[in-house]
Amino acid sequence: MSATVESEPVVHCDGLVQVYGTLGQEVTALRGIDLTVTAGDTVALLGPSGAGKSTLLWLLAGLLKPTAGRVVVCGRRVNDLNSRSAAALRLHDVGVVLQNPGRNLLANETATGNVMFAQRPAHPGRAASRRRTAELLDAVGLARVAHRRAGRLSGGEQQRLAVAVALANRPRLLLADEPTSQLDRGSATAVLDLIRAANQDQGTSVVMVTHDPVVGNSLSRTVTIRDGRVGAEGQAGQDYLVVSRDGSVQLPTEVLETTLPPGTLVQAVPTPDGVSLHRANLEGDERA
Amino acid sequence: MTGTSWLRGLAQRAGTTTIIFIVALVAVAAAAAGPIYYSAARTSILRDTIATQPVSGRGYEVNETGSLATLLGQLPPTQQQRLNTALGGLARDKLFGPPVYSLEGSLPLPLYESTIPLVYRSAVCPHLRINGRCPTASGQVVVSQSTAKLTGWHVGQQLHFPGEMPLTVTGIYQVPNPNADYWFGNDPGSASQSSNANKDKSPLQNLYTARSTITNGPATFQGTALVDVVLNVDRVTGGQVNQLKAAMTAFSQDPALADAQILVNTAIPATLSSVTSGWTSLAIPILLITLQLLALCLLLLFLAVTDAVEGRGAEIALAKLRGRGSWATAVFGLSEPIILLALALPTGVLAGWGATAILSHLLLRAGTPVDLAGLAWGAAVAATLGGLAAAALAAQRTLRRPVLEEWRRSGLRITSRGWVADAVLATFSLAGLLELYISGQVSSAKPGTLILLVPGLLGLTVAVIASRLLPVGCRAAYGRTGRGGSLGTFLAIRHVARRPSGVRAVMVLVTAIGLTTFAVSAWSVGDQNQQRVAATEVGAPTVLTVSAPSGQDLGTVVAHADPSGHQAAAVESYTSTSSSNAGLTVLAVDPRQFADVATWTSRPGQPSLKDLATQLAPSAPAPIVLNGSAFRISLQAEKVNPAGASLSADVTTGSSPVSLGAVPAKGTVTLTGQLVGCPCVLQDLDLGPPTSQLGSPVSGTITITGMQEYRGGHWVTAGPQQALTSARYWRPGHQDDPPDSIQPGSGGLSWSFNSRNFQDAILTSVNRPYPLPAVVSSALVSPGQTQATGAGLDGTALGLKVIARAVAVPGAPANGVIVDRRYAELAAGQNSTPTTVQQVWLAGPAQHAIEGRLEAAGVSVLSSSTTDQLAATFARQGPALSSVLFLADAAAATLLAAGAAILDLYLSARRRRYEYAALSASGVPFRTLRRAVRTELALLLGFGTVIGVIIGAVAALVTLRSVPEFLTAPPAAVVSYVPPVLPLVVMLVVAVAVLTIAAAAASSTLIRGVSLDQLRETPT
Repeated sequence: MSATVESEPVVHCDGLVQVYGTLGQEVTALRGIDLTVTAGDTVALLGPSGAGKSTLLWLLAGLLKPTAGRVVVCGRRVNDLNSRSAAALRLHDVGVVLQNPGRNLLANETATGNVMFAQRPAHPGRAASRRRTAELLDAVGLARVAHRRAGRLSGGEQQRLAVAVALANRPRLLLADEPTSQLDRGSATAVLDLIRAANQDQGTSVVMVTHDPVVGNSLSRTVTIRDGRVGAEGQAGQDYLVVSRDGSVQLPTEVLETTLPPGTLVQAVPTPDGVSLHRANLEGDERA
Repeated sequence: MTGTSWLRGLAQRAGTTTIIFIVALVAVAAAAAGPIYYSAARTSILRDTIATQPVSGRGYEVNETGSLATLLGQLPPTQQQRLNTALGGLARDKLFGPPVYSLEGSLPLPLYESTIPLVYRSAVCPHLRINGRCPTASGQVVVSQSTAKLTGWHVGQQLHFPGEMPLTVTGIYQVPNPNADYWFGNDPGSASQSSNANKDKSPLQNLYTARSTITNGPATFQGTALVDVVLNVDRVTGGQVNQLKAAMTAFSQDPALADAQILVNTAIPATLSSVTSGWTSLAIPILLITLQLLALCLLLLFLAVTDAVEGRGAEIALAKLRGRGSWATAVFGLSEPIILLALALPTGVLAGWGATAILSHLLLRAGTPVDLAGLAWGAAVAATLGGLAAAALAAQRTLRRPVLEEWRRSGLRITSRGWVADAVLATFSLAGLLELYISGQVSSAKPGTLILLVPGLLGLTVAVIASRLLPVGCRAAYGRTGRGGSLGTFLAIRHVARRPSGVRAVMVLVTAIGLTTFAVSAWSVGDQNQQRVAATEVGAPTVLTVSAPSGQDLGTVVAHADPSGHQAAAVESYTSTSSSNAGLTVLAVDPRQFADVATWTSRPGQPSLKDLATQLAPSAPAPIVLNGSAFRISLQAEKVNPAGASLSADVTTGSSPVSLGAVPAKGTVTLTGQLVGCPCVLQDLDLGPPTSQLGSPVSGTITITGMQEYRGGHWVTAGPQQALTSARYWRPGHQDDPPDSIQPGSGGLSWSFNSRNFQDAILTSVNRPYPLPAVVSSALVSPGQTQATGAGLDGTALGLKVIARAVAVPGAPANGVIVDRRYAELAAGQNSTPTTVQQVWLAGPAQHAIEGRLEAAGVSVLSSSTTDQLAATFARQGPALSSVLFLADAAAATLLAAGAAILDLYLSARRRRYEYAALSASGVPFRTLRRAVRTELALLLGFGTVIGVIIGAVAALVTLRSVPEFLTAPPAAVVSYVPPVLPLVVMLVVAVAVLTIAAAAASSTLIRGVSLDQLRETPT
């Protein structure tokens, strides 16, 4: 695990744009994301389906290269990584947990084997590797099924094992894509506890995609992606709109549906601590 | 990843694991089997060739002339030392049998104005049948039975020769088997060709004596020492041939031996040279056949590994996600195929060795060693490396695929990239076919080994196209199946159209079935033609070369041995050596019996041999047979010029001509001559000018009033009573101008003649058709030709009336003439050449019984040849051996391809269990799902089988004429290139049965495994 420098962000996205090109059609998944995750941060990526959450996660994992903008993960500029150095980044600094429990694991391999499979290239020492594996399995409560094939574990056990696998190399950043969506509440809680424990014990930063506000609120920050942009951010129970670098602000849906429907003309009125928006009333101004 | 996890992975993917292992195993086995089989077949051909050579072709004889007392002390060690020097390392292999030493001299025999050979031959007594005892001490001899009969010598008698020590006769010998290798091709009765004792050929046969008789004899006793050595056939192997050939050439030309006046005679180098042509006919086909099977196996391996690696796509993506580098991911993805290939290397070599040993045991000469040569390991390693390359090629797409792309894939599709690969494959195949056509391999009827590539290339080309057309056809049927009808068919049609596994299965199946159909056709046609050619070349199921008891007619003996008259035929065979018709073989036969036993090949519309039998032996006047001790003729002369012309009678045996006396110009006279050695047949009466007027023409008329022979103390009429009253019994000996007139009358036979200068007037006794009716090989006469000149049993030219042109004369297909034996003997004047061979041709069933009866009747059976033996010999020659290998390899390929295709389809369908589970959940009955799977399998396998059979049959019809079947081309009319239907039907039935059973089992297993629980899993 790389040494963590308090001042250095683990993730820094700067005007990140991602465009998929398929059969002559272009789909813009991300439209200028600015995001910084500092060491020890736990960030929930929220937002509707298709908003670009998973795309952002793949970019952070080095599985994609951004179309434009800059993304730096654990001090390495993802834009410049080739497949080998991207693999090295994932091996040493980034752990990934996928939504589907089965997809995180080698079904034919034992729980121990799965952890060691993820671990071995980074930790060639066999004894140390076994020790670390045992610790991890113990930590995720799977010591008793250490030698059971992953394919025969329950969904919750599989996802806890997936977290153990992702944490095998003590990553600085843990990326999780809806890790609890296919689990019952109890299993989901157990998985979240594990992730939080890794954050607290090892200082692992966490970026987690989720649709579940409860899960999101259990983390230190929430970042809501809408239409490929960071629309809002929440910290300590407070939600904030994020002003993008072109000055646009994504209003919450309930505001759009009630007070300021699309097409409404508004006036921005500066206030001492910000700005207030007023719906324009051409017949007579009215406060929004 | 732990070691046991590999095993778990292999077990988890048992189907794919099994097919990859089997395909890899067969690929390695095929690669190893090629060199092993070639090595064994080379040795088999070598030994067969050596074994069928005359002894001089498989041994050597060394001789030295000088003082017999000392020769045998010097020659054996000298020749052995020079031979060992020439052989070098081969000397240790003990390739030659024990030497036979001889000392040959000759003793004068003034009483007979001749000499008699005195011979010592080592260990001779076991090779003689001695009435008495073996000569073991100095001065003892054994005498041949014929010499004893001629000379009256008997056991115990002391023989005295001028200037020599007396010899005591200890026994009278016969030679039970003069053809035994021990005699080294020499007549056991007379001294060897190279011996001085042979220079003045003696009518008296060898006296065999003990060595000491000669070595203790006077130093002045001159003669020849010989060493005869025969190759030990069962010790020679293919790998020794070049070295042995060079060694024997060097030995036969050894200057040290030449300087010592020691001569070496051997035809071993020539024999070994002839062997290599047989090898050539084997080497390239084996290479091509092996490469085709190997290529098919590697293609199957490629497809199987593609499937296996695709099946592990999610795991490979996971490895990448966990930060494994490219190399580590490749090792991870290919670990299972690599393990299987590593396991397949030793097991494949052993399997190839075992399979080849079985095949060799069935096909090759008994006792042929099947060695695991280094080349086999080399080929196996090459095949394994090829397998690794195929596996790497198969996996590279999956290994290079980005993680996200792998996750987003929803299943395999027939891609445009696949089209490109197929187009390249088809283009290469077509280019190969075109090259073969342009080079004349396909268009020419001349056999060529490269033709064996055609079925594979053609099959592959059509397989690529057909496999692509099937989905197109299925897509065209979308509408029809969508509008109504069975849901099973609806599903099956769409799966065939959409899934690449179907394309792969069809491609593999078409190629393999096509190859097998061709191989079955080639093998069955080859087998059929081997039987036909063997039957025609031998002439009958069994042909015995015999020696009839002296003075007995072979036909009569055979008739007694075969009372049915349908199982045996007496034949006299003479092969001409004269320059005008060298190689022509005259078969003098008893036509009726011959027609029953001989193998007759005829074109449609041609008469059978039975039909021809009566034409071969039309009736003719009976011969005038003379049995007495004297012959006299009474005649009346009229205007005979010159007066005193000399009349003689030509008879067939004994002292001929028989001088009868002078014929006056006019008047009646009875002329008498002595007959010696008769019974004999009167051939003609010859009237020549008196000695004083040699060369003058002879003219006049004589009327023969009586012909008599002196027999039993009386003069009796010679020949048939009608001989002087019918013109049928006589014809002019020459075509003179004016022609001779022969007029029978009450007073006798009137013969008017007017010969040319230097020609006698000849009145020929007619006792046979003239010219002699004959069935002639079509190669010897042109269509419509009615007369030809052949050779008689006496070696002279013989006029023939062509009654039929045979596409293949039995026993002498391209150069044979069949005539009536009785007439041929009369034409030869019962004076057959020594090279005329007596034979008995036998039909199959009664062979042993008749052979026993013949031997009981005193007939010596010198050798025998059978159709089955010759067919077996053909079957052990290069072309046939390669044909069987092709069949075995193609059968293995088909089983492999069928298994791979079914498993591929099964695995492909298994990945659709989620879909089937969903359909089941929505109310589709299991039987409909089962029907869908079965229809899909039937469509793919049936299509592949039908197209494969068609392609194989087309390839067979187009190319079989050019596929080598024999080392030397047989007569075209004897062979047929139309494949027998039965083997093809059997192959088709077996293939369909295997495919049907396997498909039914696969579909049932598949549908049984569908459960609603699978809906909880992620669709793959």
